[in-house]
Amino acid sequence: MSTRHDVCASKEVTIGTLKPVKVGRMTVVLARLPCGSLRAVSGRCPHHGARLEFGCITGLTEAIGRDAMKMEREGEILRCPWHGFEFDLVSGEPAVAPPSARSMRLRFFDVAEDNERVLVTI
Amino acid sequence: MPLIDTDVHESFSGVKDLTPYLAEPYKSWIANGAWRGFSQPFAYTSPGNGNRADVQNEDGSPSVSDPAMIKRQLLDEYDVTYAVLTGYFYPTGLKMQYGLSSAMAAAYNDMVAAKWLTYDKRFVGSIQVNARDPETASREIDRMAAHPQMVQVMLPVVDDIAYGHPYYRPIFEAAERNDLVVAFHHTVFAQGPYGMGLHYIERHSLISLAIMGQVISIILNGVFDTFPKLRFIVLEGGFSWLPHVMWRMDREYRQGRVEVPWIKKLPSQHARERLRLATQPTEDLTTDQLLKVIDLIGTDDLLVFATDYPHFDFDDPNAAVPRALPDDLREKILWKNAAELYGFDIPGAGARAAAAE
Repeated sequence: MSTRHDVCASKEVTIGTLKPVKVGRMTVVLARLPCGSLRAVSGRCPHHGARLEFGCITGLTEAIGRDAMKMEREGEILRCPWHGFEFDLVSGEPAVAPPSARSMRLRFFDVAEDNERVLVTI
Repeated sequence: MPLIDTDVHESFSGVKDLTPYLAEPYKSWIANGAWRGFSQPFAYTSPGNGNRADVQNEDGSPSVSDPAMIKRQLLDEYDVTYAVLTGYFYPTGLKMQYGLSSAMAAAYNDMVAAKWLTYDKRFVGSIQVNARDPETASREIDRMAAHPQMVQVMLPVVDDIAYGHPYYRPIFEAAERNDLVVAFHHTVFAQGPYGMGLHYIERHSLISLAIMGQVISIILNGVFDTFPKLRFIVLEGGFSWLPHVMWRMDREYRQGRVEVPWIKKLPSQHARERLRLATQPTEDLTTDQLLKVIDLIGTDDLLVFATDYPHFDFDDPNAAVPRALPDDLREKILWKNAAELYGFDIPGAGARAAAAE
């Protein structure tokens, strides 16, 4: 049975940063997308289990031709602190498809804000 | 289950840390900043700039200079039985001033012995040498081999050395007479067949080719035949390429043995008997793919586990070696093969092979 947990104040979760919180023995990483929405992500990378709180929020490098590098979707991409795998915080999907027959999607939990508090349901 | 990590990169906060272990004139040179150490000729692209981003040294240095941190993040976190320290400061990279290079290798060894091997008995060490001065390297191996926790000689893979060349034989002689393993590890100077390429991703993908070249060099130049008791380990070069290299060398041997009659065994037999490959980086193979590669290699004695801590492409033992593997194979990869290679006294480990036959 899932339970709603009051994990921190809303103002503690800012765009471009990762906020780890403990829910029981599990670490959940909170992030705020540029649109204002929250994400609550399981604290371990689905690849090798790195602690995602040490990762970084970034964007996607894109290029039109090799000389026109630019950063798009800033604040919507989570990079793992170990191997640097990129994950889309909007969808949870990895930027590059995983090897066949393997799931490598971020695990999201329901998250809401109420009265300036962040509530995660696990 | 025991766990042996065959590739752990201890370091220092800077080359000046070697000063207490250097004699003059090099002591003053390094103390005064006459040389400031190697720097890589590229920018890292991982979040931790080449290291895991969760590796934070208390002194703020980019390298791992704190034994307590490795103990906490690796030895204790994963209950590691033995961690083979492999360094990432390889004086062979200095192409000039071989006296300085050899002195720094000796100083680094003394630092590892004083700071790391005494810190935790689970640490075992690699003897660093300046391979460009093989006679001095040979004496350094004899000197450091007296330390009971030194288990191997480290030969760094750089851009201009193929270790099969007869010039380097004194190093192998010293390793053999001291009953040490010979390890190969890439460096920031290692190159593929056309250099490093134009991007970090290219350079990093080429590392396995640099390693393949060394395996071909030492087997086809007779190092395995000249030193029949020596055993070799290749670190951080991957392993899925080995079937190809063995098949290719065997075919070449069948058609070209006339040129190298001192090679008495099929190259693949030499490799299976005395070459070991560390699993990292594991390339995300599925269980079935891994079993197929091992089948093609022809023996399950060959793979040994490594994390490559603290580098960004760290392999977590719980994720890198599939739990779906048969238990006996998983144990071989995670500890038994390495225990046999290094002669670690762990209950349940097989006896170390006394000879290659």
